[in-house]
Amino acid sequence: MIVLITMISFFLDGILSRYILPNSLFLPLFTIVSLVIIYPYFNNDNFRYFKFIAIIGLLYDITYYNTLFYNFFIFLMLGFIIGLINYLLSNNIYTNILMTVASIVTYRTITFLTIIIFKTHSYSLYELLQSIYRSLILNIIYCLIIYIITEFYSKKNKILRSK
Amino acid sequence: MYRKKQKEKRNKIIIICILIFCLITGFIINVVITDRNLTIFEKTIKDSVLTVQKVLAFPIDFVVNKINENNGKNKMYEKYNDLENQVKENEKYKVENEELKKQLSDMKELLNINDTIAEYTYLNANVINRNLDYWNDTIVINKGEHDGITKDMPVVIGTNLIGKVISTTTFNSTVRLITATDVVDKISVKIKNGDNYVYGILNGYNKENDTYTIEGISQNIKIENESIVTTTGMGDIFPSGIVIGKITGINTDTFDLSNVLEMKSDVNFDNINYVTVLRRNI
Repeated sequence: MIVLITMISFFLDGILSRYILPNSLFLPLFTIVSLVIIYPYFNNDNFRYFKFIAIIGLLYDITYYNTLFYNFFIFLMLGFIIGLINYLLSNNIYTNILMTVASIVTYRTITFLTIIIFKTHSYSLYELLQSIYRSLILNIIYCLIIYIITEFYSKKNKILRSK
Repeated sequence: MYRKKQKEKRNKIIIICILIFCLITGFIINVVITDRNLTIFEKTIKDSVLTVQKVLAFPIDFVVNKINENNGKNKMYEKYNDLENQVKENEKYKVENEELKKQLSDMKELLNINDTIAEYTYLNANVINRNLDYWNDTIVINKGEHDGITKDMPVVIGTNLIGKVISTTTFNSTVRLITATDVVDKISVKIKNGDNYVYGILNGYNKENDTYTIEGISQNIKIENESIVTTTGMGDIFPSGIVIGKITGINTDTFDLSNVLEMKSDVNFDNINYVTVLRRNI
């Protein structure tokens, strides 16, 4: 199930990028949402979780960004934040939304800072805020849908997940 | 003696820290550069994943195309009338074009020029991906090295420039659009001003107004609105004569020393589905 959720999200990111306008209010970051959803299914085996998201990060780098080890590191950082929130709070629909928001804010901020520092682009802080709020709505909705589906499926098939 | 050793130790730590900092900075710079040449390993992975994506996207494309087709059918009669008028005009342009072609070849022979748009063949491609990254304006097209595409080839829609190829794999290529606000990439442009051309540099894109800035134009030169902006052919990437857009506004720079022009492109960059790559004839 872990691989399926991640792969669906990964490919949806690519496919929807053609249909969703860059200036719209619904920018997809489904792969990042999938990192939040799959965490409980690793049953606190953090090493396996980090290994998995590192591979997804590398794949994301090569396929969508033409970079190497850029999203790899960011995904590991997001994995750390997701792990920390899961350690502090119990996993439920609200913490999943919180983790999605935290991951998107972190992701956008890191990419913004990297571009400002290393790529000589001229962006303002307002554009960072714009990129964040434009990514929130669709990804929170996606998080809710995937959470409900996986919750239902894991209960039905008695799949173990950490709480 | 002890203090000296302590000092040496501290110096070593500082040097190691500086070295690590330089290495990390160099590494990050190398990592975030998107227009580098991909390794065979990366090319294979990218091609494989994008092929799977194309297969998965097929049903969605099919539905979207059917909807567009249906919408198009409703406007069929209007389109037919437009095309009929265009055909009549085309006859006129055909004769003109042949005359101009002849004149151009004579001129080129006379001046020994060999970098014009006529030396390029057109290669049509479909867009399969748009940038996921909010900051880089790039698209991925379904033509790659296999079709003869190489880095830095210009990409157009119709006759309008939209960007250049920044990296290629065997079956796909990544194109950076001219809307990308990368200040490193500047394009040399010329503006038709009466019978003459005024030269400037396309420098930056304003997302809010959807306009580009052209700098480096003397304040003494008067340029009219709606003047056509084309590439100059300088820089050896874009051939001369590709249309980029039209002038929509004229301002002066902060020191009142030169003109800063506003330009708008005819291309709707939010809706790019098909593009043409200009491949140089060898």
